[in-house]
Parts: sequence; C-alpha cells; structure tokens
Amino acid sequence: MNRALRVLLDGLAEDPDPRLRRAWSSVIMHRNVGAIPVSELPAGEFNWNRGFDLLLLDRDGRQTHVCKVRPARDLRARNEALVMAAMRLDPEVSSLLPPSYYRSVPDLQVLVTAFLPGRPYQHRLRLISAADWLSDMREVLPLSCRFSARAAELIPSLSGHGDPLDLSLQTADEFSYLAGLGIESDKLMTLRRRLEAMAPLRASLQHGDLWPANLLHDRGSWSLLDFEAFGRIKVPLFDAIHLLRTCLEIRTGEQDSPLWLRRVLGPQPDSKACRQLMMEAAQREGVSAEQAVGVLIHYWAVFARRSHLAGNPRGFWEPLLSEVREMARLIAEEPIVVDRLFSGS
Amino acid sequence: MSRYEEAVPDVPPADLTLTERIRDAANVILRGGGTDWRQAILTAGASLEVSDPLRLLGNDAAGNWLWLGDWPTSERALDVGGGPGDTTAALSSLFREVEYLDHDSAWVEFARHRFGSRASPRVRQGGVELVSGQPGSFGCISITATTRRPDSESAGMLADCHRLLAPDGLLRLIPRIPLKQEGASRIRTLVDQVISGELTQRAWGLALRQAGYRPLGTYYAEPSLSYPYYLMPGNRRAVRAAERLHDDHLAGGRSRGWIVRAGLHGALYRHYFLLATK
Repeated sequence: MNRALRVLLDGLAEDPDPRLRRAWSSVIMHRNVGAIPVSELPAGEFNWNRGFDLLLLDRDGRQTHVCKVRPARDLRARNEALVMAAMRLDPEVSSLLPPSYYRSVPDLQVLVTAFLPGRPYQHRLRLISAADWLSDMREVLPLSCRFSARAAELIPSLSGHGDPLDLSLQTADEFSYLAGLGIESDKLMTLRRRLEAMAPLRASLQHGDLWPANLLHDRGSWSLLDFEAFGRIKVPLFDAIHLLRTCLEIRTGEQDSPLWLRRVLGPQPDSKACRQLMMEAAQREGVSAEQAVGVLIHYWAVFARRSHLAGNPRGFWEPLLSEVREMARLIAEEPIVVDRLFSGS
Repeated sequence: MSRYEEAVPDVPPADLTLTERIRDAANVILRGGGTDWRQAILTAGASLEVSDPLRLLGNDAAGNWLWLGDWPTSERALDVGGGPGDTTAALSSLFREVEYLDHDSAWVEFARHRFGSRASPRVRQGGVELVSGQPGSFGCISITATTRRPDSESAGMLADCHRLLAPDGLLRLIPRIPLKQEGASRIRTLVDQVISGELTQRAWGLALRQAGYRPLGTYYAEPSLSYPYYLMPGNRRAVRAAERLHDDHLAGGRSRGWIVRAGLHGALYRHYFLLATK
C-alpha cells in the first residue's frame, strides 16, 4: 500500500476506542469512483466522483473497518468527520452511528469507521411485507428527525436550523436549469406558482442521502451511515421523501408505471403505506399538506438537475424530468389527486 | 474530409467487440474536431445504442490502483500500451513527465486529441524502445501487454522496462484478456477462464521474476479495468470478503460460492493485473 495511506491507517492502533483499534492486514478497494488526486475536472460535486473506499481485513479475511479515502480538499469528508465526532458524544443518538477515526495529510484524508454487523436495509426491504415496511419506516423516520434536531443543537457550524425558508427562492436555480433541458415553460410556471403561493417553511438539517443503502439493520437496531452531505440540505421532509421514494422503487420496480408519482398514487399496499408514511412524516416535521407538495416539487427539480449536472447518461436523468413534468400535469389537471399524496388516503 | 469519415460506417455491425466499439467512438470524436471528449463519447455511444455510453471509456478512478502500491519520489512515469489514456491521465496528476505509448494508430490519435499538445503527457506511437533516458529514471511504469501469455517479445519489453524503472519503483502489468467465446458452453467458458485466470497469472509472475522484478501481488478488477469499482487482492480470503460485501453486485448464483471456496477466482474475475517492484 502507498506509504502516506499506510501512515494514516497506522494511527488506528492508538485510537482510544477499542472497536477501532483492531488489527488489519490487507485491503479491498471498493466504491472506487474518482481519482485521487483528481486527474480531470469532475462533472459536478457529487458523491460518486470523489475517491474510493477501502475495506480493511484482518489476517483471517474478516472485515474490521471501512475507510473512506478522499482528496485532501474534499469538504464533504470533513463534514462527515465533524458530524460523526460530535454525535458520537451524544448519548441520545450515539448508538445510531459507528465509532470513527479521522486523519488527513496534504494529499488526502481518511475517515475510518468500525465495520458494523448487519446488512444494508435494501436486502431486508425486498423480503418484507408492506406492513413490515410501514413498521420499519415508523422507527427510522423519527430516529432520523431526532438525529437532525440533536445535530442542530450540538454542531453550531451547521447553521440555519429553524430559519424561515422560501422554497420558491430555493428552487429558482433548478427551474432555470430545467428550462434549458427542455421542460416546457407552462409546466415550470405551474410549479413556480405553486411554490410562490405556499407559506414559508422552517429550515431543518437533513441527512441529504438517506436511502436504504445508508441504513443498516441488525437484530432490530438501526444505524445511519454516510453523513458527507449532512446539513447541506435544509428543506424539511426532504430526507423522508427521498427514503420513501427509493424504498418504493426498490420494492416495486417499474411494474405498473415508469413514473414514481403514478406508482405512489396506486391502490397497492406498498403505495398506500407510502402515502400514509408521507403524511405522518409531514405532520412530524410540522409541514402542511400544501407545503409538502411544494417540497416534492423541489425534490424532483433538485434531483433532475443534479443528475444531469453529474454527466450521467440520458437514461438516468430523463426519467427525473418526466417526474417533474408529471408533477406539473397533476397540479394543473388533477389537483384532487395531488391532495391525496400527503393525506394518507 | 478526414480518413475516418470514409472509414466509419453509419451503422456499426452489432457484433463489434468492445475495443472496436471504442475505436469507432474515438473516430466520431476525432470527426467532431474540438468537441469535449466526454460529451463526444456520449454522442458516439448514443449512435451505437449503448445503454451507458460512458462505459465505452474508463473514468479517472481507473488510476486509483496506484494507491495499492508505493513509488519513489520521481518525476517520470510511463504508460506502455496506453489505449484510451486513462492510466496516462492518472499518472499525469502524480508525475511531472508522463510518456504515453501505443502501437495502435487509432488509439494514439485518440490520445493526442484527449491530451492535446501539452509537453506532458507526451503521446507517441510505438513501444518502449522509443523511450530514452537514464536507467532507473521512471518511478512508475504501466504495461498493457499485447499477448495473453508471456512470450519472447514481452520478455524483451519487461527487460527494457526493468532498466527504466527506478529502484523501488512500481510496475503494473495487465495481461491481455481473451475475448468471450460467443456460443461456447458454460463448462468450456469456465475452463477457459480458470486457465486464463490461474495459469496465465502464474506465467506472468514467473516472467516478472525472470526479468528481475519482485512481484507484489495480483489484483482482480470488477467489473472491468476501465471501471474498477472493486480492486481486490487475488487471494482466497480477500475474494471471500469481497463476495460477502455486496452480494447484490457480485453474486451470480449458488455456484459462485463453490467457485470461491475452491479458489478458482479466475473463473469469476476476468480482469486482473500484477504489481511488482524492482
């Protein structure tokens, strides 16, 4: 292994936490998604084009740690280290995340976490009933909210929690960008007016990448992973929508419609559970049904723009544009249907 | 009109190999003049009806294998058989002077387009015999072999590179991967991959030792060398750990577990490279 990297990892041997102090002997490079140092300009600032992860193994081939290796100037890795270090000290939420160890040198930084037992939630997600999924989400979503609230109290640098938030201003750049991608001006106008008409939200720190791969489930307990984007998004309900959308996609695929918005409005048990959970999440976060529709508009606009900016193939971002169009169509032509999204019915 | 406008058919045959498709894509880029190469490959890929056109070429993460080894402080690096130039791009961010070499004129033109007329990387058509300079002046050398198994020609190339490599320098060797035999039986494919994966690994290890190198290990790349999302040591424990890590990504049926336990990793991972030092 490279000398600088080995020196950083050798520090594990002196960490005060015994769960991090375990010996390792070899590594597997995985999630290898971006060069260190960056060889060409990355297409946007995204998780998938920066650095790589190492899985550290002991002499018997057992996983001991997961190590994120990132370029030295990567602010997201520092953000994650900050959040993990602060939250590990809080008895109320410390059990939700693994012990971590952070070091940096001029060229790179490493964030090492103890390897946790359990499997990413997407494995369980495919096997359970709609009722079990509902039950799981009723555990996870409040935990996530509690985590965000505690982070706002414990980490002063993550500012803005509780401030008024005008979603039409927050989404203005996205709408301009989507116009350039061919979204019709009347559809964008419909969405913009909807956002302008709604009451301001109260900002709330969001995980930013809360989806089943970042949830670990082990014998009834949950762990949250990957806090690189924590606090960058402050739109309440964003995490809940992202988690529920990705869960439903994993559970149902495209069996009825390629559009998530049509699937979630369907009569299937998963769709009903999703609408129920969206309503509960909105109530928990103090967001009215009208505001929640606005957050959903913002969510699709953010993801469509982000996916295109990342240089993804058309097959990635075009379905997201279709969701934006469908959202506009529903608001203009079927307002009663839109009301069902967060009504639980 | 460039020669590519005449040479490239509008509708490429469906049975093109990946290499041929990449070359065609490169030709489209060259036809496009100053088009940004990533955008151009998207355009080219769309015309080829490939689901993910960027997969026609590697991404810059393909250079992170460098972190698996160590290299001395040196200003020079060499990429022999550089192909689309991903390794050259990676080396360029770590070394002041990088030399790109390839015998294939289409790749060389593509690399010239990609890297422009900068002093480094220096793009030339040919083999390692073109490289001059002090013995031991290259901190890192990457070789993409033109043969599946070592032969007299590759032995000569390894010897030349040994002369150029700095003491404690890092050498990466990528043996040529045989193309999949369309229509071959599963047993035949399995046997072929085990042979190519296991026996040729050992043959290249022996060739490296005979040329004076000290092999550091074999690494499998999954799903490919252009997109090495996983790089894992070629030993049973590491492979088992990798298989456990993301079984949704790597799993390919119940037989896969048996193959892992039997240590026949060559049947699972077609893409691999060897690291060595001097």
